[in-house]
Amino acid sequence: MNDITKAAIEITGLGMAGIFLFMVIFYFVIKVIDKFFPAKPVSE
Amino acid sequence: MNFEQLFPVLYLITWQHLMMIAVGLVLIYLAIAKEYEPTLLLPIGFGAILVNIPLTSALTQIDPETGKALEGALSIFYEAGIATEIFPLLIFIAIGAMIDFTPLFKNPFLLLFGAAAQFGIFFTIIAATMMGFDLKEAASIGIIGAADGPTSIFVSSRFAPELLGPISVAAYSYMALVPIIQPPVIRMLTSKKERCIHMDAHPKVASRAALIIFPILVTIVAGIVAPSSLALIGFLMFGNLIRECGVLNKLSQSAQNELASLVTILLGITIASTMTADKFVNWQTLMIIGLGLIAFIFDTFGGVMFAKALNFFLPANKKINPMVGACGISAFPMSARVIHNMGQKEDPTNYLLMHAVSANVGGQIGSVVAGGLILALIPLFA
Repeated sequence: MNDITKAAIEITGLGMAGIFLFMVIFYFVIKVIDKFFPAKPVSE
Repeated sequence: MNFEQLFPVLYLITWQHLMMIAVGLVLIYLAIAKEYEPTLLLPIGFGAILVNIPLTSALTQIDPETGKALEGALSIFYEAGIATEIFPLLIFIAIGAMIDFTPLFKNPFLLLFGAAAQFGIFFTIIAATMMGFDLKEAASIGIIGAADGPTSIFVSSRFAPELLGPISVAAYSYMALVPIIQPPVIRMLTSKKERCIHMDAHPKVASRAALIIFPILVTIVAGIVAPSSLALIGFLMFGNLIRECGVLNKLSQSAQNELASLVTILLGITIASTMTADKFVNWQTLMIIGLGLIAFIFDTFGGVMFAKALNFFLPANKKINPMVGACGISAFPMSARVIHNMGQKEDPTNYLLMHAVSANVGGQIGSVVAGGLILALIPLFA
């Protein structure tokens, strides 16, 4: 395995971890927004 | 004056030029007859013809008598719109104005599939380095797996502008082929029982304030965590804010229609300016087309396997249909529709559309985040 492929594997680890981190943060962003600005219940 | 001086093109044209003209014709055929991403593939196809006729004035040529450059329109568009990254960023505003984030508020947990289904990008980066591409080229090829044309163009125009043509063609072609690529991969990875899993409905809606605050907060958070991703995420969220604010309906409509149409025409035909025979007719192009397919297959693999892994930890009544994981790619709403139809075929009482759309919207965010992260990470290693 050459050095470039080793770097690519490292980038894969960091990249996937980074995307999940972002998504987890966005998940909490949505939860917080939803808590403070909940949707009004739709009347029947 | 002899025949050669009268018709120099006939003496300069090579089989490579003819091959590229044939490629252009095939792309136009696919766009019109098969309706494969016609808004992009038709301009790219026509542009490929335009730039592969020798001495074309659409590209900058050197005047043999004076030695001066005679500027070509497509070369000017390339320098002004692609090299500066302005065209893809304008498209992001248009896409942002088209996205409705409401499905994410129904079930934000499905955002995670927008992360898992980016696996194909990174798997392909590794594969490309094994095939001899350097890290910047490999990253540009891997980003085909974002299933998001503008992100692919944005990243490859920065890291490997010489590969922009084949990367764009691969990205848009495979996006159009999602209904053909995803189902066999999903069937191979899942059992019938898994494909029949029903998921609870979330009838919730989001408030207007929430939808306005979301793009602003996402931009700020993305800026704090990874400032290099801000151009991508920021323009997308700006377009979305125009849509959701409720006071710029005219601008929102313009962004979704006129801006999207104008920039798409320019983007398509300008990308074609990179598809000259000398740059396109080589083994590298074939490898890129093959790697693009691998990227889409492993995106689907990542999303499905992540759902299957989650199901180990979820109670029986909360299990996720693993097919929904495959919707974590950015091809919206095609992927969601494909999964919903697959679910209906397995069990006509199973309505997966709402969950699939949520995961698919997550994929739209995930692909842009992936692009931003690649822009940040590659310079650290290259």
